[in-house]
Amino acid sequence: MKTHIQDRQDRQDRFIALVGIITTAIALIAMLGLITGWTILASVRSEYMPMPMISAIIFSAFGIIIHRFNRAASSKWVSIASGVLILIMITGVLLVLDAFYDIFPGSQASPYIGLFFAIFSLLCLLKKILPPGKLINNIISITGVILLCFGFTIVLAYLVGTPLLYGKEPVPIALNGGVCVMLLSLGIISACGEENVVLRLFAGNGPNAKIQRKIVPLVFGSISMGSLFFVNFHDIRGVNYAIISAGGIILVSLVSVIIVQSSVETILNDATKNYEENKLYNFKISELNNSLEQRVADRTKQASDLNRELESFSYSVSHDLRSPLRGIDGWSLALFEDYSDKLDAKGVEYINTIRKETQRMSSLIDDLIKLSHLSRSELKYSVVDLSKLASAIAGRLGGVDPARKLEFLIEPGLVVTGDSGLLEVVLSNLFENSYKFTGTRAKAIIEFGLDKEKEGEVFYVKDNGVGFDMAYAGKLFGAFQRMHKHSEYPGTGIGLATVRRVITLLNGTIWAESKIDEGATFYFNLRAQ
Amino acid sequence: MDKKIILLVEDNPSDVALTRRAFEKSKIVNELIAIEDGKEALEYLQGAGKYSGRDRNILPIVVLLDIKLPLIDGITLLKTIRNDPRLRRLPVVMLTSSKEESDLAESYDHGVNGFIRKPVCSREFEKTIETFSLFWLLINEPPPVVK
Repeated sequence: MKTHIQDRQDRQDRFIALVGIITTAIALIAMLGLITGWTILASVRSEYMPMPMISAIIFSAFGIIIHRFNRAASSKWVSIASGVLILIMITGVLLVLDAFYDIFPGSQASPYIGLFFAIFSLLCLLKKILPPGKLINNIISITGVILLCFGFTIVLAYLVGTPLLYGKEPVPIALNGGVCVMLLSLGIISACGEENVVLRLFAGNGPNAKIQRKIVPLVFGSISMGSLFFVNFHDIRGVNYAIISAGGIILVSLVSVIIVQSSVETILNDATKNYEENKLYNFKISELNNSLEQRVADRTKQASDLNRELESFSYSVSHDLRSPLRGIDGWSLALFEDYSDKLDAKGVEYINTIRKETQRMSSLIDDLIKLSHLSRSELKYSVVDLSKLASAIAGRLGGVDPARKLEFLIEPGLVVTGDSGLLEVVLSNLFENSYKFTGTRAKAIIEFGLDKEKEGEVFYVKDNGVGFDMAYAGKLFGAFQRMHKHSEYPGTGIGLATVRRVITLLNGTIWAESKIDEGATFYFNLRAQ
Repeated sequence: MDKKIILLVEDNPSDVALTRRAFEKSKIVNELIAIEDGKEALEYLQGAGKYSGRDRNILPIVVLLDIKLPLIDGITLLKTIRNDPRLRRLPVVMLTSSKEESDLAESYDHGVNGFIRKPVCSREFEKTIETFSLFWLLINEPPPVVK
C-alpha cells in the first residue's frame, strides 16, 4: 500500500520530469528553428529576440538533467551530469564576462542568461553532491525562487513590451529563454523536497498552503493578463485610456475580492472540517473506551472461566487418575497374595515393578496437582526472613539421612517481601534439589546467600553436587524434564518447574549456572509488589 | 442382634471389590453393602424405591461415601442425610481419592464424621481399612436411633 507521503513524492517526481521534458522540447524547437532558418521557432514572434544556439544547447542539457534529477541514477550518469554542469558553469561565467571583454565576438547570448546558467548549474551541483539537509535545501529553494522571479520578469517584460528586449545592448533574453528559466527554477525548487521553506508554503493540506496556492497564481496571473491586455489594447484608436485604467482598477479590485473571498472560505472550511474531525475523533475515542471496558470485562470473564475449567481439570486429574492407579496396585497385590505359589521369582519381581511404577505415577500426579494449585492460590505478601526459612529447611534435610555428611552455609539476615508459603516452596525445592544431587559427595556443601556481584538483589542456592550440562539449561525448568537417569537420581521432574512457576508468580526470574561434576548454582531475584 | 452393616457408596466396581477384599483381610465379619450411586443409597437408607420392603430402622453402623458419584454426589447425599430427621445422626465417613481442600471443607461443613483419603498403595489401604473398622465397630459408640 502506498502511503500519502509516497504518493506526494511520486507526484513531485513526475512534475520535475515533466518540467525537464518541456524545457528540453522548447530548446530543441528553438535549435530546429535556428538550423532550418525558420527563426520564428526560436523567437516565438518575428520581432522578438530568438534564442541563441548556445542557450538552446544548454537549456536542453538542463532539461535532461532536471528530467532525471530525482530518479535513481548510476554513478556513471552522475559523473557525466556533473561534468556537463561544470562545463555549463564555465560557459555561463564566460558569457557574463563577454559583456565586458567581448570573448565571443558576435555572440547573441545575453550576459543575464549567462549568469543564470552559472547559478543554476551551481545549484544542481550542490544539490547532487552535498548530502541532503534542511539548510542546503532551503538555500537552493530560495535561490530557485529568485531565479523564478528573474524568469517571470523576462516573460513579463515581453508581455508589457519593454523596448529593451528588441535587440538593444546588452543583448536581451529570448521569451522562450525566460519560460525555460521559470520552468527550470520550478524544477529545482521541487527537487528540494517537501520540507524546504518554499514548498512548505504551498504543499500540504494546511490552510496556509491552500491559500497560497490560490493567491500566488491569481496574483501572478492577473499581473500577466493585465500587462498583456494593456500592451495589446492601449494604442487602439478610439479607446479611452482612462476607461482602460478604470477597467484595470475594477479588474484588480475584482480579483482582490475573489482572492479574499476564497481565502476566507478556505479558512472557514478548514476550521469546520477540523471541528467535525475533532468531534468524530472524540466520538471514536469514547466509543473505543466503551468497547475497551467491555473487552476487559469479557477477558476477565474468559480468564475466570478458564481458571474454573482448569480447576475442574485438576480436580478430575486428582480424583480420576488416582482411582485406576489404586486398582492397578490393588489387583497386582491381590495377584501376588492369591497366586504367588503359581509364580516364580521373576513373576513376583514383575508384580513388584508394577507396584513401584504405580507409586511413581501417583507421586507424579501429586506433584502435578501441587503445581496447578500454585497458580490458583492468591498471593499474600508479608516480610519473610529467607535465612530463617533456609535454616529450617536445612534442619529438616539434615535429619533425613544421618549417614550423610552435610554442611549448610546460610547467610543470615536475608529479608524480603513475598508470600512466605510460596517462598518456602522455592527454597525447599532448591535445597532438596541440591541435597539430591550431592548424594555421591563425601561431604555435601549447600550454600544460600545474596550474590553481591550481580546487579539488584540476586539470591543463590549453590551446591557441590554433580551439576549438569549447560547445553540443556533451557530444559531445566520445564515440567517433567529430567537431566539425570531415573536410576541415579529419582524424581518426577516437577520440582524446578514448580520453583519457576512460583518465581514467575512473584514477578521474579530464575536461572542456573553449572558445569558437569562441579556443582550447580541457582540464582533468583524477586520483585516484590 | 443383627450383624452390623457397613454401607459403601462407591461407583467403581474395582474399588468396591478391593475395598471388600481389604475388609475381609482385616477379619471384619460385618456385612458390607455396596451401592453404586447416591440416589440408590438414599433409597436404601429411607427404605424407598426398590428398597421399599426393607426395615427402615436397621441403619448401617457407618456409611462410607465417595464424593464423585453418579446422579447424587457424595456431598449432596451427606446434606440430605443431615437434613433427614431420621437419618441425621447417621455416622458418615468420606472415602475418596480427592485431597481438594474444598471437598474437605464442604464435607466438614455439612457434618461429616470422618474423611479418609484412599492411598494408592494397597498395603496402606488395607491398614487404613483395618484401623477404620477397629474404630467404628469396636471403639466407637453408635448414636441412639432417632425415634
